[in-house]
Amino acid sequence: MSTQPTVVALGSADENELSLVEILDHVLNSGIVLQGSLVISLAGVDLIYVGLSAVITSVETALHGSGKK
Amino acid sequence: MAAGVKSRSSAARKPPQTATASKTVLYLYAISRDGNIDIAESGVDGSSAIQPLACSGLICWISRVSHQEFAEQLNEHMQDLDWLAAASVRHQQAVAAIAAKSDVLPARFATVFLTPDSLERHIRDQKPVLLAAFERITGCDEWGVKIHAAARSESSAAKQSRNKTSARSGREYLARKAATLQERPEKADPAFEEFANALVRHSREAARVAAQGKQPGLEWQASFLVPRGQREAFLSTTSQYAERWRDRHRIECTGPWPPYSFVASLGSGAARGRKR
Repeated sequence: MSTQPTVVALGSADENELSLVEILDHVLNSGIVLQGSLVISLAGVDLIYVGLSAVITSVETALHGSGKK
Repeated sequence: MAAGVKSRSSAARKPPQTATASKTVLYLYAISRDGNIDIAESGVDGSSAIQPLACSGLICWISRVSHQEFAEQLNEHMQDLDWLAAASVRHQQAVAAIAAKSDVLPARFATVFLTPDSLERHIRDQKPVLLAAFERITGCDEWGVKIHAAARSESSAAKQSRNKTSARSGREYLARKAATLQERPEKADPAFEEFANALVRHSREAARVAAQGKQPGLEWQASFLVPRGQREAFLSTTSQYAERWRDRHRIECTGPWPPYSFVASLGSGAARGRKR
């Protein structure tokens, strides 16, 4: 058995490749967070965690950049 | 570049932020209780080796990655959807490889520690929470279920784009997000509750995910924590509904995932108000 998740074929046979959206939704939006902060500066603090806010920022930037609302 | 820094007399001091390219940080993939497994997959950077690191009686699966790429410039990289897409896929591949051999608590993307001591300290502080989480997830996989409106049947181009896992499709993710922001969500069908209840019978836990504004045509979404012994029953139930609803809705089921959605609210101050 494959160790990677797949799209389960439910009637339609060809849907077995996982989309990037699925992966991003899992690894960016969930998973354990050992510290709840978003961005911690490097100086003096050992853990850096960049959460979803960075992605949201980039999505918004791209939307504005492409002239959409 | 800046090699040959004379620092013998300042060993106790933090090195300057313009560190050399060879400096590394610890990138965390997952936490397990069992360290006696071999992981052949390479790390999130595509080259580092994934290793077990004993921390307060638990095993942290880490790889040593470039300080420059994953600490100094992490913020910039997170804005680069192509970089993010490639790294996310590698993160998931690594976590899935570990999860295939041991029950794990998957870490969120880009959880980076500068030193083993720091990682150890965080594990020690969180240990009761982590152990409780293992009790919940042991023997289970996560399965994602989405219901799409069949009326918006996809063009072949949309289908093609949905199926693309290419690392170059970060822009596609954006495009899809953009499309969904303009869309009016439909009212959830009461039949979805019946479907959810049927799936819950084969699950240990369920987590409803807000479907609104995520993907065009997405009507309902949830994640289920399914004991491996219940997998067949869970998938068979899903298939039955897919068949029954084929003219109105398209059901999409993905898995087995490491239990990402069922450990997301753990950790200090990390409660995100997720509905259970």
